[in-house]
Amino acid sequence: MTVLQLDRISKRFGNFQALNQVSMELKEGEIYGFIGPNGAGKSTTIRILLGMLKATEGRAVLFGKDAWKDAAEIHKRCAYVPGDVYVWPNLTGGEVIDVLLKMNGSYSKKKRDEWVERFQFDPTKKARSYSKGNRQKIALIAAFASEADLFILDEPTSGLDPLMEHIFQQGVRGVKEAGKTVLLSSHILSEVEKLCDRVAIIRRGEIIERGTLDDLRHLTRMQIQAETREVPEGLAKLSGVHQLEETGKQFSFQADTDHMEGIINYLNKYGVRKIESTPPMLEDLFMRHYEGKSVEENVQ
Amino acid sequence: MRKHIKGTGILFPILLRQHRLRLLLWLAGLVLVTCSVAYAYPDMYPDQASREAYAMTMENPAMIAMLGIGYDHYQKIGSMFALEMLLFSAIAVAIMNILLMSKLTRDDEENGILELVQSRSVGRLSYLAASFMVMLLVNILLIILLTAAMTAMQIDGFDFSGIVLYSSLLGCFGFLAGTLTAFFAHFVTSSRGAGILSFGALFFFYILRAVGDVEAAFLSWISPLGWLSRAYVFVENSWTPAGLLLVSGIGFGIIAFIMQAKRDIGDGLLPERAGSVYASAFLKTKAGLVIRLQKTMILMWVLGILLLHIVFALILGDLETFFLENEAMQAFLTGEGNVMEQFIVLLMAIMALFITAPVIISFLRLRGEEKANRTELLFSRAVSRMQLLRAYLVPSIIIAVLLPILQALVLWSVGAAVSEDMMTLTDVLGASVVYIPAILLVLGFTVLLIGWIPKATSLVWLFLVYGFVVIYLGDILELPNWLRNLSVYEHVPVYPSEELSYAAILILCGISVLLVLIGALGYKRRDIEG
Ligand SMILES: Nc1ncnc2c1ncn2[C@@H]1O[C@H](COP(=O)(O)OP(=O)(O)OP(=O)(O)O)[C@@H](O)[C@H]1O
Ligand SMILES: [Mg+2]
Repeated sequence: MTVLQLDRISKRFGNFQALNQVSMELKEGEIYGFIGPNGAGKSTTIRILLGMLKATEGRAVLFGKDAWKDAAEIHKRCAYVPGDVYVWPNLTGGEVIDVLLKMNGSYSKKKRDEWVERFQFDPTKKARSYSKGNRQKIALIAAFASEADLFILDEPTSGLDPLMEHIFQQGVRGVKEAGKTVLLSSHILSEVEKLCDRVAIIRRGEIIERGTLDDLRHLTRMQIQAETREVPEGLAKLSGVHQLEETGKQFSFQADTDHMEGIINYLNKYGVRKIESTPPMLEDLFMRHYEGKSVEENVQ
Repeated sequence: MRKHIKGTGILFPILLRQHRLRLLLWLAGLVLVTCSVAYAYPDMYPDQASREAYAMTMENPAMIAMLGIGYDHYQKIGSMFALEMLLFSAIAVAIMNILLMSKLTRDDEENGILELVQSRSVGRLSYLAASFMVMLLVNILLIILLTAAMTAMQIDGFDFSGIVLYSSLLGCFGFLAGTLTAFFAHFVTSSRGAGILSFGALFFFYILRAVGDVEAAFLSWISPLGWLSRAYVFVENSWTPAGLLLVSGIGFGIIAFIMQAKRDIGDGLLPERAGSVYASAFLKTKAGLVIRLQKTMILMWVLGILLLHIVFALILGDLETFFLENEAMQAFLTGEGNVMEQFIVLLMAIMALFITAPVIISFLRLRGEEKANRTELLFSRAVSRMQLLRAYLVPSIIIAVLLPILQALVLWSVGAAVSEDMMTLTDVLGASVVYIPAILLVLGFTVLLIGWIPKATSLVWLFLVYGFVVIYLGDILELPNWLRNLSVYEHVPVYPSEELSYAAILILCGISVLLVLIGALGYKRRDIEG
């Protein structure tokens, strides 16, 4: 079942095109990663989803309702955690959590206290004196303790220490196990790799890549280093082989993952003595996109 | 010392640029109003008879409490001008300085600007030093501009030495207000807190002076606002008060610098208490949250306004004895359109402006929260735009309706206790509540601005300033009717001397409702910034 659907969303701020025809679809129970460089338009997309910004074009639908028109109705089933949490300086952390939870109706006090405990959060201090990470915990506790079906997280861990980040990841997994949906925007690629089922990569307001992590891995190439008994003539012309560098019988090249079988068979004819392969790093792939090149450009 | 103020030279122009537009508007407004009043003055009181009449209205306890002591038997144009203008101009200059300094000190500290600057190779005191330089420059500019403008106009009765002293008094008072704010900023952890303490002090000075001028002169000597009239500007031209202002300003300034050097960034000297783990049931409602965020501000305003009424009501007793001693003048007290009634009607007109302030401040908080990125979290919950707008509108409306009633009750009950000739409760109540629709209209205009031009919400303050100019100076400046009519408050029937016009009241209410609806529509369909 589709929980969230963005249909060719565009957003202009004056003359500046912040989003251009962004489409996205989240299925129930999946964790969807949303990544891209600074200023790419992640937060803008999320704020359109939350009905805080009005899309210039296109339609955003959550739970079958219009994100702009039925915002308050939709938010009963949503939890949002922003990267920078701003709260009322003269309320205590505990008070802020309660206020946020209560705005969505009734909530379980037990669950709330549990999460306060898990994040080792001191709820008695005035919010102005909390550190960035602690302010983020306020929003995280309010999110995890609520009965939301969709979690919209915009760089939710940018202020957390590794221990707290671990607890956050447990929380997200728990949410997924309960069959709920998560949209996770993050710059921490290992976090995305660990948690997400599918990802979309956005750059300069346009989605440039999307799919499951495996899909994306297929787009990358393995780095192969090998040694054969005889020099493998014509390897360079074989489809799926790139950037061949040879020094006699030792050579290294990049191989398209979907041509792997043919390449290995071919090499075998020359008597493989040694072969090493380095798995594709998702991080490398992301970096390439961040740098603004497609996989092809990067190869050439 | 040198290393503590390193970088001041770089910071000063940056800070100045940040505030220059607002400050220029303030300066222009102050000079313009002062000069146009000064220009109109000689024609207002051309002969002895008119001056006698002026003395008659001014020389009673109520007016003295409001405006301060007259001197020189109201004979010279200059002294009459100073009586009417000096006190309130000084308050305006003080407001400018308080707003400026609380912004430059606490606000920039709250926003983390100070921390960012301090992390560079910049002295501990540089930011404060640069802020002081901006504040100093503004007050010096005020003195120069005012002196130059008034001298250039060559008005009869305004000699140069008097003009210089008059301008210097304003500038020095501004300086004191600025340093006082920097001083108070150390005690609290928010610019709102610094503002409350400073405005509280200003208010306290005013009350002290009011009581002092009527009852006990020594009280006026404690209050810097009381010093102003003791300069006998344009008559004796005593520089002592200006010197006093300057010296006490420097004193507070030095303390502010010492405290700045000792204090951690972000710290306040007043202790912070540990708070509660859970939110109360009240706080968990939308209206409860809104009220909780502003309760101190609202409480301060309510107490201030009521206190002012108590003081003026007590003075009504003095007014009575004053006229009883003076048999020839008894008709003034009890007759048709008597002094007491005139005074109460004037008081209510001015108070309507004062009451508008908390109404507006309370509602403008909605925009303030948005600018501070704090509405985002609320709107991400099941809170609709209309619900939040309503949550902010309701407290504002409650203040706008209840405070006029409350102030009338206080004024009347205290007044009736000290004076036998007090107006009837109905009349006092009437004189006060007729302004409710006008206050609501200004509120409606605020909603309109927040809905459609959120960046320009501060414009609503022009309503208040203009309303004040019209009430206070409308006659002196001989403003034509169409100009007066631009002020909402002028459309309120003057009760009880005029027939109560229900039509006018209904129209004002109708427009207010319309403005609120249009504004709400805009708020519903615009982007939320944060
Ligand atoms: N209200 C606004 N007016 C004008 N431009 C805006 C506004 N809000 C965002 N932008 C611009 O839109 C672009 C996208 O911003 P957005 O905050 O969505 O980026 P992001 O992907 O979340 O970046 P980051 O990773 O740094 O959080 C940026 O260039 C930003 O400057
Ligand atoms: Mg962002």
